[in-house]
Amino acid sequence: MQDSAATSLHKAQRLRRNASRFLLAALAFAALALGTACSFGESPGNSSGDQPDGLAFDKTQVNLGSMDLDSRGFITFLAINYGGLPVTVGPVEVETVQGESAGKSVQGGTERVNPMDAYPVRIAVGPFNKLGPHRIRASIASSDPTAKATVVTANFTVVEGPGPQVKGPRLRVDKQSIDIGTVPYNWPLYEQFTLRNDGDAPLVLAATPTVRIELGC
Amino acid sequence: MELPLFMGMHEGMGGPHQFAIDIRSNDSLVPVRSVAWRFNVRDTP
Repeated sequence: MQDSAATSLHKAQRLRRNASRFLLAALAFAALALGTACSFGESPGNSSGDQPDGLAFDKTQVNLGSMDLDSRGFITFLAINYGGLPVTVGPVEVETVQGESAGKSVQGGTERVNPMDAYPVRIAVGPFNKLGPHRIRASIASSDPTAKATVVTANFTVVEGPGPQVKGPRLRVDKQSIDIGTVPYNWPLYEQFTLRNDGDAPLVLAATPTVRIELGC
Repeated sequence: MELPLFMGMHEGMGGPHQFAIDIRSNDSLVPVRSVAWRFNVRDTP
């Protein structure tokens, strides 16, 4: 059953094809694949909870644990339009609060987000120049008067990467963990890991990544 | 290459959650690389 719970790379390819915009309904449907112990399938907009009436984000803070000095990846904050009118999201201003200059917005200008649509705001991080704790803060502007400038933060510690390369394919993941703390009930969650091959031979992923539920559900 | 994860919620899902994602490859040094996703759902009112 865990195999069926895996998030497939096919979804990654599909996400790329669909660029950066997708329906919340599709998001909820995709959640069906995540775990059998969790009875997914309910649209985020269909049940009672803490939903706002307007623009919201899946999270406003995230702890990424440790990241390698030479790693490159993304931190993603999902902007969700629960309102009845289209809104624009952006621009995004990123600043480094602790550590050395560590992140920059991938988004150039503004993006239109229709009602019940979601848009992933991506912040590129790495490679880094300094070891130790880092904290970046981003201000995400929008045309929603209730969320004119949403501040989001990310914490992580930069550590030495792996030793000298040896021959063969080498899988690298941009971050080892994602901890978003406490979230409201009835809240869609979206995360992204970036994989790359640091080796000198083709990397082949064996089957679909497997998701194991270690706590909860 | 990006590995996206989506998650919805259901009633009674309050409390801490942790998922481990195992990525298997032909990397002979680390054939299975595991990453973690943690969050804590505020209980249903």
